[in-house]
Amino acid sequence: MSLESPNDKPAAKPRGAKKSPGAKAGADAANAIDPLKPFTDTLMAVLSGNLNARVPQDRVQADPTGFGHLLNQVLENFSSAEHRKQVAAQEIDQALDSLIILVREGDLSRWNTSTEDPQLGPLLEGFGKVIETLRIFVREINEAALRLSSSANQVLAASTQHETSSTEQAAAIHETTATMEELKHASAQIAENAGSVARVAEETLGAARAGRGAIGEFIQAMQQIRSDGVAVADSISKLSKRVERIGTVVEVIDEIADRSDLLALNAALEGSRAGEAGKGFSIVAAEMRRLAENVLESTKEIKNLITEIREATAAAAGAADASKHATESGEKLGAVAAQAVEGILAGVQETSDAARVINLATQQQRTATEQVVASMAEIEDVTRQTTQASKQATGAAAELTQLAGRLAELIKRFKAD
Amino acid sequence: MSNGVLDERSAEELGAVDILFFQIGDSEYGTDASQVLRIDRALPDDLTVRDLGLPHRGLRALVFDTPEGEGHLKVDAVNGVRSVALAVLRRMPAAAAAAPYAVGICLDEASRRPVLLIDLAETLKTQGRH
Amino acid sequence: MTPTSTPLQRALRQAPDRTLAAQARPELEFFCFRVGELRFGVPSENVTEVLRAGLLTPLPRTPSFIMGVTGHRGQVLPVVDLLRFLSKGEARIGPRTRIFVGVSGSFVSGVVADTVLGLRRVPVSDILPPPLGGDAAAEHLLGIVSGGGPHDGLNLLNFSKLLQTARQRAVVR
Repeated sequence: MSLESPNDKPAAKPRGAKKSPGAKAGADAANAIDPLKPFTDTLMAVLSGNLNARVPQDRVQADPTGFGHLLNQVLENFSSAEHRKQVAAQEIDQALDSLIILVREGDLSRWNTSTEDPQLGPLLEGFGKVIETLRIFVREINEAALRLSSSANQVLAASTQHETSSTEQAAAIHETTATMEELKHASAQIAENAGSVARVAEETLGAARAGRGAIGEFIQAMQQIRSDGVAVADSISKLSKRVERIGTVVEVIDEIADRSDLLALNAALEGSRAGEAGKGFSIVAAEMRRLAENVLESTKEIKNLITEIREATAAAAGAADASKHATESGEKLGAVAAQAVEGILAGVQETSDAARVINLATQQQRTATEQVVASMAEIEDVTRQTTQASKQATGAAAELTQLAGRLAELIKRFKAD
Repeated sequence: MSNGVLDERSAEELGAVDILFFQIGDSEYGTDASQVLRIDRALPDDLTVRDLGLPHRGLRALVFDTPEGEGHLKVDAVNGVRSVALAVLRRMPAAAAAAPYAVGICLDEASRRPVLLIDLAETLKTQGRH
Repeated sequence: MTPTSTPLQRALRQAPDRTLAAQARPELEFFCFRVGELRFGVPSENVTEVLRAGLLTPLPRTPSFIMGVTGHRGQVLPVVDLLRFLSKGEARIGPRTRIFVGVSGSFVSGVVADTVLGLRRVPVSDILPPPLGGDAAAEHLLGIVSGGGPHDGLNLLNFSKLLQTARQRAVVR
């Protein structure tokens, strides 16, 4: 207990007064009047609060009765008792303060109260032990709350994630189901198409068979045309030769006619020289000239005709040649076409078979797809439930987190260290 | 214009002469074979007579003797030397008034048309005159 | 005049009793031919023969109206281009071109003709004198015959004079 406590102050005044030269002078005067006065003064001083007031030593020594000494001893005891009482009161106050703070602020760290008082000691010690226990509790609770909060957070995070992935899974499953539905429709479509393909392939097969027949006939026709063309070319060649021969003959005729013309002219001149006797001769010669001229006119026409025939036969020969080439290439094309049609037949047969296989496969696929869709519906259901559950778990975890937070908050109010 | 009177001598009496036939451009000409010294490869400076036609390539030359020395006439080809009966040779008709080196005509059956006979020495004189 | 007479009746009244004498209408015979666009007649006594033109042999430095020479019956004939001689153009030789052999005294020459029209007897009374003040060709004409059609007319040549002139022209050179 501090000696500076306000209880000391009232005691200081009398002591100061005792030491002051005025008081000493007054006492000296009183001593002289009443020999009991120092005792009564001392008692008065003590009663008025100055517990340190004592009968001065000179009085005590001067008193042969020893009364002063006894009184001083009583006063000493009283002072000491009073002092102890004050200290205890102070310590109780202090302890009360600490408790008030503890209750008000939850601060367990500030409990530091001790006493010398043997009666008060066990009580405070008991308090101290309780507070220490509380402090340990608070510390542990605090730690637990922190851990709880962290765990709750983790749970919440995990739960949230689970919820998200569950939702995603549900979406994925939904999508898969939709896709499977589409696949089902698509395979139905494919089956239908494959059926159409098979039908068309069947028709094509028929047409290609007919085409094969037609191409065979075409090739035969081409061969016929070619052999006819060869005959035509032969005929043209013969005709050409004959026309050339006619040309030669016409040249000869021309030559003869020209000579005849000359002969006739010269005969006419001869006749003219023969005078009246040659007159008839001249007439015959003139007639002969006319004939020769007619022949020349005719041969001119024939020559023109021969030229025309030559051109025509050349054109015909060219055409026959072209026709020969055309029929040859026609035959080749026919052969190619026949080959192509054979290829088409084989291809169409394969197509038809393939289409049938596809039809079958798609039917099987449809069944399988339907099963998958059913399974997916079940999975979706389960997933929906899972999602629901994980939503609830997330809610609970959130609540838990909140609670852990609140707990930590509450515990924080108690300061253990 | 030419004298149409028949020669009274018979063909056999007249005999024959060697004629060298040659080609300038598309035309055939004849000349006295004895007049030709040799046939040579043509040189750029060799004689061409414009009135006889221009040679196509003129790779050959007829080399003949003249009082002034050798003459070279550029020709396209030498067709050969034939012995020609005098009976088929004619003097150039005066009415035709041809160049002095055109001395006669050969009516040889071997030729498609009458062949003009040339005096080579005269061609050189003609050329000198121009 | 009888109103019932017909053109034939009128014609028969004027018809002669016998053939009219030839001497009453003297005639000349011409060898007629065409060269270029011109038709000529040469007195038939000047023409001995008609030949094919065939291949001519050109001669160096002859007058331009000498186309060349041709061999005929062992004789060398100069061939005359009448068109060039009369300054009326230029004759061309084709496959049917003729050459007639013309004679005047001792002179013989070939003449180019595109077409021979034949021998024609022309009444002397039909022969008109050559146009006065005509071109140089006119001096070699005996006269002209104007035909009914535009192509029937004839230029009758004085062939002897023509040959003489030709010879003179050649020699003068």
